Amino acid sequence: MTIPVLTVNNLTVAYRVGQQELAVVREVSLAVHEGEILGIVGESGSGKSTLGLAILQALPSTGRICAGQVFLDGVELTGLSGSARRALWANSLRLVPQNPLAALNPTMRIGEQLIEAIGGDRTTATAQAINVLKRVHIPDPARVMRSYPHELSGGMQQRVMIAMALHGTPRLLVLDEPTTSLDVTTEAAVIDLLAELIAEKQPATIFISHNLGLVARLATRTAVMYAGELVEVAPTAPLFDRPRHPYTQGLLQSLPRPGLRYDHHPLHPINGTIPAPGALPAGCVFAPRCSLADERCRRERPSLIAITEHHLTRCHYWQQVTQGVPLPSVAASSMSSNGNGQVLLTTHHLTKTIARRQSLFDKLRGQPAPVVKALAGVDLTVHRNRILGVVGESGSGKTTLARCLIGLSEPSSGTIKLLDIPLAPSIQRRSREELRRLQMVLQNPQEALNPALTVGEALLRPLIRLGRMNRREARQRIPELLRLVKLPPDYIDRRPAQLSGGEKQRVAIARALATMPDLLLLDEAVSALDVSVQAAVLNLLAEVKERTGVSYLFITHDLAVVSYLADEVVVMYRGQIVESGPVQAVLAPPLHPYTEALLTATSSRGVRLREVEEPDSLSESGCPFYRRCPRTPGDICATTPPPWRDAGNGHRIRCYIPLEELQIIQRSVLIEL
Amino acid sequence: MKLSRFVRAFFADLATATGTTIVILFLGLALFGPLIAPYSPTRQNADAIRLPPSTTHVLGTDRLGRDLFSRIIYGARDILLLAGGGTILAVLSGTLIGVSVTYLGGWLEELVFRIFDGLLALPALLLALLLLGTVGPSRSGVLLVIVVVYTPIVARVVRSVVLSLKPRGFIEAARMRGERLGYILWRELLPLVAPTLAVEAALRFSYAIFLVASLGFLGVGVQPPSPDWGLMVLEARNEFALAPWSLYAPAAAIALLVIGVNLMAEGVRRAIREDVTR
Amino acid sequence: MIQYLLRRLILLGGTILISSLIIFLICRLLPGDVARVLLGREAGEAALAALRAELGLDRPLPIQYLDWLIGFVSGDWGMAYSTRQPIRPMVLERLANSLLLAGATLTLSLPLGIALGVWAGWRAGKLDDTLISVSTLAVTGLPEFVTGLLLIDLFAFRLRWLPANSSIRPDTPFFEILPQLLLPAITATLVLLAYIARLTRAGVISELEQEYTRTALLKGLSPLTMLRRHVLRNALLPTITVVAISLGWLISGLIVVENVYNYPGIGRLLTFAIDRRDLLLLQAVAMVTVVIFAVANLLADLMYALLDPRIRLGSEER
Repeated sequence: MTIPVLTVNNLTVAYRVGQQELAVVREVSLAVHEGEILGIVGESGSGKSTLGLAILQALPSTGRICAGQVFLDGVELTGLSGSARRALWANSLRLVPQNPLAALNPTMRIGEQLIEAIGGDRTTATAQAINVLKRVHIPDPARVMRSYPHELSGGMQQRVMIAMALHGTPRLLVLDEPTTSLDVTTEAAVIDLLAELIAEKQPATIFISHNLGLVARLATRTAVMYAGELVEVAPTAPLFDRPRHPYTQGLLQSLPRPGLRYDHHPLHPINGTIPAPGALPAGCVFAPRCSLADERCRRERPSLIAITEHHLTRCHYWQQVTQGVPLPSVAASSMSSNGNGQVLLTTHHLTKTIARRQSLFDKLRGQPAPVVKALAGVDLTVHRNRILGVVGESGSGKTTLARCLIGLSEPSSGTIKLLDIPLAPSIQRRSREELRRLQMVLQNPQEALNPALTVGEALLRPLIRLGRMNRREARQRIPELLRLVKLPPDYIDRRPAQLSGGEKQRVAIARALATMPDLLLLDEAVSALDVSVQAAVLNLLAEVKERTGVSYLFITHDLAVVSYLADEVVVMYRGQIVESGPVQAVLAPPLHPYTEALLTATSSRGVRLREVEEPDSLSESGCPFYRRCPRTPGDICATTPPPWRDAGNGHRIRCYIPLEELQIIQRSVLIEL
Repeated sequence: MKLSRFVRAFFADLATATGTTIVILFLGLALFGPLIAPYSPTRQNADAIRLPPSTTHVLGTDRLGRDLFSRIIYGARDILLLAGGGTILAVLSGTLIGVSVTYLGGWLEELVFRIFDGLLALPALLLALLLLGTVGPSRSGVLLVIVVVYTPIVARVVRSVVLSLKPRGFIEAARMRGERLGYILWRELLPLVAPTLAVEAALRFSYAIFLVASLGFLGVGVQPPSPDWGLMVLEARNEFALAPWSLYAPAAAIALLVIGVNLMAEGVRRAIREDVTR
Repeated sequence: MIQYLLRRLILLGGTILISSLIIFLICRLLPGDVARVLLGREAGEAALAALRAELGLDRPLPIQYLDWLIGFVSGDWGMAYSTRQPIRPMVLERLANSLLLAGATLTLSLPLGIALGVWAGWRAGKLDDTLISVSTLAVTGLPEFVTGLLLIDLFAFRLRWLPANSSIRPDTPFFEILPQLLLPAITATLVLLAYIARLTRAGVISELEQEYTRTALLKGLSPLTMLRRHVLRNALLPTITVVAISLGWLISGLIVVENVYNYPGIGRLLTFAIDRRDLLLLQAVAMVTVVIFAVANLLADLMYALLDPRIRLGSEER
């Protein structure tokens, strides 16, 4: 066995908060070999990013390594002098951070920053910088060298960061959520690139992520982190196939997997929330949330024990952790059609154009202001007691669509009808009854509740305003609402600061449901939540729908969630719907090439979009997708809008490529995955 | 590292405590002035002209034989009342305008803040002098000046907070249930603007003292024979050789109060920031 | 860039226009009759009316405003009622003096304030930072007439190093002015220095917390290179704005300082005009100050834009 590049010994890291120090990473030991990729998964607050920075000796000033050692090729890093540490930083230790825009100096050209990182003689460094940019598949290195960070797309910025991290011969690479700020299709390409470069340069790699799928794809070994501790470490495949720690198992069971349906298979979230640093339980850190926990777990802290040579777990009862997760038979997931099919809401050719800032000269010359079409003619139907999924990446117009429906922004043209009655475009013009029927839950739970108001007050207002109740009647309804979203009744007097993210989102859902709307718009309502919490909220949504008969318009970028929760799906690209129909039909061949790219993004052999910088304003003619289409479009795609093709059962695809042809290529792609 | 942190925390607390003590001391002087002051602040005494500090006249007397200690005490009343009252009024009007106009947005916001920009393009003291030239030197004039000079500044600060709050989910949720404007402004927005306002008010108070004293010194503020500190400095500016103490007393009073308010304001700012970040 | 410049210029013009209206209105609301102030109590009604007509005070306000504004823009600033002299040369001469004093003050306070601020921010939390922070905090907001008179007491009357009075004459050569300039400049510097140092310190501390500073750190750059290339450049961006804002302070401060030292600048002229109720002079002085202040702000904005590509390209707007 070779000597590992990186060895971490009993590392404990603490942050100073006010007058006290709180340990956020405790007694972590691990080793990574040359060319090996160790995945570290964990939910927010698990301490995984802190661990990464501590290994790099780059903790913020409030953080401190309290105990333990970090060895790189046998050299102890924690005790190094300033200049020796700088030399290591320059040559061996590298980081790819989560947010490339924040990590690049906004006032320096990309070239300058790269040359600075490469160091040495300027002319050779410049040549090397161009080479390394080519190496990360940047099409026009010379132009990128001259650019400032904000002039590049998020994917390009991250490629620059990767170039910066992988020039020369790095020994240790820390990837800290490197794709979390990117779109799904861009993420796929960036992960491909990382895999390629790591295979070539062979650094010891630590891949920190909350995304189990990505870790499964990239990491050779995986460590699961919870509340600052490693709870399970194993080669990736066995870890995912037979987890030996209840937390790992809980994470896996929280994921909506293909074949599961909301109306038949409730997910299995982990109860409770992660303990705050400084408020850790005495025994096993996971005991308060564990279904296997007993007196011993609450008293005695388990150590990390080896059950095989490579598989470690921190659990007294690892043998009782049930093996794997049973997959449901696909046949069970027949389409539920308990709705009576009555049309609830329709839009007809909804458009929304947003005027761009215009240069003074153009204004004086009387040029029309340049516009961006956020929505370009959207026709949509929502049925009673059904869930319509809206899928798309940033810039697809899905949020604009929701905001137009609710009236927070006014469409430029087109109509919205609720129960066949046209709705006023502006929210001020809508009647209270119309407001009551249509409610919305927003993406960010942190901003959903007013920090100054209690949960009770937040729930009271809709009942008073839209439910026409007086204060006393409304107060009596609140316990019932809290029960509906599975929150204890004493939460009524809490303030948002005392709630976790998942709890806040539950309150936001309760507030939106308070007056029994007909349609609830959910704009990425579970995207900001950790997987275990997301599972609980998805279960809640399924249950509430069953009990109240409400319809959802569910906006997301996550196909797994859509395939679990939606009855029907529309896929949007640059303000247009490119595919629509029942969920099973839409997510199986034939697929629109864009849907195909989304669907295969999670696989290393998936279809990738062509990388081009798209112009801001959308030309009226042609297919919105043709510039990035992976399926070699013809000239006609650029000039004439593609036709809607009918694939049967209400499944429609907007593309020139004949459906039979799509079906044949895509079948072979999907089989290969 | 640890020691310096301790020293810093200690000094920070000490500075705040010192500042607060100074301000409370002056407040006490202002409130109980008549009980403490040994003499009338305006009574001239031909037998006690330019007396240096002594047991009978703690801070000495000025060129007209007035007791400086008594004048300082009564002056504290004036300056705290004018600066404090002006600050409160300015913060109130600035908040009122800032919150409502910014939330409503549109041409009204554009108009109001364009006018404020025009006002702010005049340096504070210039605007103050112009206004006092118009309404004439008087207490109410000084009060008006503080309100007019500081309202746009407070409104701007409030505006930036409201602009950051406006697109938040909870404000949109309120709009989705058709809340009235008043509810959104006063129940949803105002409590969240309050911490910023507290910091701003403390800061404004310190500048208001500066302004009141400066106007007194330039002779366009409170008029003689009032025991205004700035005015006292003006009257004593040619007494360097004869009675330097008549200059030191009001100068020291102003300096002490300004420093006290500054230290206290910094404490308020830090306390609120810590509260917000928690 | 030209786009940006044009947009800023138009905005600036609008603001100055509004300011001019405010100045005009405030001045015209002056209580009392200018004609009576000029001619005294015993003047007859006919003489008063004649003077009003001569001064144009009998015309409607909008006309008066336009007339004055056009006059001001075209360089015809009129005659001062109080001295019966043309306003423009008088104001411009005083302005030159004030700019000299302002220049001296900035030369003293800018480098020193920035240096102190950078030092304190870089050493944040250490003892030297604590000393700088507390002392600058104490000094901000201390009126110039207090510090000024104390400085006079010390340097002019006790040590006899520098003159107490700075009423310089226009034909004095520069090196003879210098000693007279020193005390006023130091007085104005104190407050400004503290202000600039505090804000620079805040800027440096926030830069040190930025992620790209960590990126730079991980490149293995030396602390000095890092400070120079990554921290200072970005930390000084807000400082530019600060300096622009503090110019308002400086102008206010100079009004007081000039009165303390009898320095023949525009601040003295301002108090003089108010004393004499000299409307036209007052308006001219106020307008000149506003224009100077606005132009300084514009220059600061342009400098900011030059240093920050996000603004220069106009893409970061909103």
